[in-house]
Amino acid sequence: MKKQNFASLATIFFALVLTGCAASKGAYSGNIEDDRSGEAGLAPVSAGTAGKASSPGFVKSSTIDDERTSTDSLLQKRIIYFDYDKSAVRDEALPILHTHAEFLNNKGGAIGIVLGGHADNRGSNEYNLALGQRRANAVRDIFLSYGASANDIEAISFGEEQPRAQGDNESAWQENRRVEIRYTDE
Amino acid sequence: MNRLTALVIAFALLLFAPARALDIQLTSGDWQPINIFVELFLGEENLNGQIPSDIIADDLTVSGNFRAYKENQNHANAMSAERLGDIRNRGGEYLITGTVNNKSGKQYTLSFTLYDTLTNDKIGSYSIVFNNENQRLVAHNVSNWIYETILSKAGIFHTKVAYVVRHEDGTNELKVADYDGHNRLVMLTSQDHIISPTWTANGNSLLYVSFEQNKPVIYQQSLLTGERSIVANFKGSNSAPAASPDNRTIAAALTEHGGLQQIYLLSGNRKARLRESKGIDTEPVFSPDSKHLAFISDESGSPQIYQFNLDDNKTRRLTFGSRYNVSPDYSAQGDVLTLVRRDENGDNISILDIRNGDTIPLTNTASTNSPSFAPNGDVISFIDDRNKKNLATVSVNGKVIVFWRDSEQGEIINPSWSPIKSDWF
Repeated sequence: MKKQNFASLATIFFALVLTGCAASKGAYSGNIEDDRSGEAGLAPVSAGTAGKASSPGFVKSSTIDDERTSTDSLLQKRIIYFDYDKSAVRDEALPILHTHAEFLNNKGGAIGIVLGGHADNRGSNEYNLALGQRRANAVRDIFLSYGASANDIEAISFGEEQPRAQGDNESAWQENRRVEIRYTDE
Repeated sequence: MNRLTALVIAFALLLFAPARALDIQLTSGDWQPINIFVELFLGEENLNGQIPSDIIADDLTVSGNFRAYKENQNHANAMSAERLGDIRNRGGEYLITGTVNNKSGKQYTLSFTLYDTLTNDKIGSYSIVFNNENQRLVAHNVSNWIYETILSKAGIFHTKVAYVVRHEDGTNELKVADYDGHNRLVMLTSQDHIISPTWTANGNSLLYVSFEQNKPVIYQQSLLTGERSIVANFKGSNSAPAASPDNRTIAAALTEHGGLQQIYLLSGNRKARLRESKGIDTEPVFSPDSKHLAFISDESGSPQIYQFNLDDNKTRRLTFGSRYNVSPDYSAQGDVLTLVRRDENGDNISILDIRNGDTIPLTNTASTNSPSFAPNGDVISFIDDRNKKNLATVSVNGKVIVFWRDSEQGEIINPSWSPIKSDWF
C-alpha cells in the first residue's frame, strides 16, 4: 500500500517536471532542420530532465555498505545469460540467484530488486521487448521459489535497447541475451 | 517502339538528373504505370532544395501508380495539338505544364495545367499564391490534386513520417519529417533509447516508448505544443502503443499483472485486458473501422499475427507457414496488412490479404523491418538493416523503392506514417 502511494507520487512529480519544462519554453515550435532558413526554432523537449528516476516505491540511499561490496561475494554477479530464443535459466546461474534471494529476504522489504530482461537485436523491437520480459519473469520466478516476496521484485524488459555488446554476430548476441539484477538503492 | 523511346529518354534523364534528396529505384519486371510527362515550369526556382516540377515528378513516381518523365522544355503559353500528339506518340498519357512568377519579394504564383494526351483535353488548371518557404508544400499540393483527379483517391504528398534517429554519439532523437524527408522536426532528444513511435488518429500527437526512467514507459507528446504526458507507467514493462481511429482508446502491451506482455485497452482511467493469452501478445494495431485489432502472439510457439474482433471478442489467426510473422499494420481499406515475414532467406516486408490469407513479399533483401502503411494504402515505409541510415518506402505493387537519409551517420528506427491530415500539417 505504502509502495503504491510512492509510485503515484513519483509519477505525479515526473509529470509536473515535464509540464513545467514545456511551459517555461512557451508555445512549441520545435526546430526545423532544413529547407527553411532564418527560422529560430525553440529547443525540443529533452528527455530525462527530471533526472534518472529510480524505480518508484523505494527510497534510494546514498551509500551502500553491506555484503554486496565484498569482492568475493556472489552478490557481485549481476548478469544471467540465456540461449537464443530461450528463457530457461541455466543451472549455473542458480547459486547466484539463491545468494541474491537470501540477501533480499534478509532486508525484509527495505530494498527491492529490479530484474531487467534483455534480448539480442534480431527481430522487431516490440517482440524483443517481450522476449526480455519472459527472461526477467523466469528469473523472478526463481527468486519467488527461494522465498522472496513479489512486492520486492519488479521484472521489466529493455528488449534490444541496452546492448552490452555492439555488432551483428553470435558473440555480441550472446552477450546481449541476459537479465541484469539491480537493487533499488543502487 | 513508342515505349522504347520513352524508356531511352527516361534513362537519359536519370543520367543527367541533378542530385536529389530522394534515391528512386525502379525494380525490374512487369509494371504498367500511368505515364505522365512533366515539363519544366517556366520561371521556376530552386527555393527549398528542388524545383517544383521535380518535386511533382518524384511524388507521382514514389506512389507506384505513375511513372513521371521530365521534359526539358515548356509549352505553358503555347500548348498545341502537335505537342500533345508528340507526347502521346512517346507513350505519355498525361502532360503537366506550368509557370512560376515572383510577384514581389517573397511572394510567388504557381500556375499549372493537366492535359489528357489521348483526348487532347485540358483536364484542369489552377494557380496558387505562396511565400517562398512554402514552395515544397505547394508542389506537393499540385501532386495531390493530380493524384485525386486521375485516380480518384487521396494523395499522400503532404503527409509526415515519425521516426527515431540513433546518432553515433549515443544521442537519440524522436523526429517528424515530410514523407520525402524534408522539413525535419526534432520532438525529443534523449541519451536513452526511444522506440515504437506512432500517431494518434487526428495526427496531432505521437505515442512512443522511452527508456529514460530506466524502464519502458509510454508517453504521448503533442505536436502542437511539444508538451508530453505519461500514458502508461505501470509496474513491469509498458510498450507497443497504438491509438484507435476514434482517438478514444490506446492499445498497449503491459505486464502489470506480473506475466508476459498482454494487450490492454486504455481509455481515460479505465484499463481492460483484451484477452488472456498463454504466450506473449504485443504489437497491437487498430483496423481503420475500429472493429478489429491485429497483433502478434507466440502462444502457438512462434510469433504469428492474429486478429481480434471487438464486436464478438473472437480471435482469428491470420498467418501460417512461417515461423516468424511480426509488426502488422492495416491498409487504409483494412482488407490487407503489411507485416514482416521470415522465409528461408530472412525477413521481408510482405502484404497479407486478410480475406484469403495470401501473402506476397514486397522486398527481397531478407533484412527488412518496421513496415508502416501510408494513409492511402499505396506505399509502405520500412527499414532495411543492410543500410540502417536510410528510411525506405516501397509501393504496394513492389515496383518503386525510394530511400532518403536523416543524416550521414544516424541510424533510423521504427518509421511510422502519419494520418492523411491533422490540425498542424
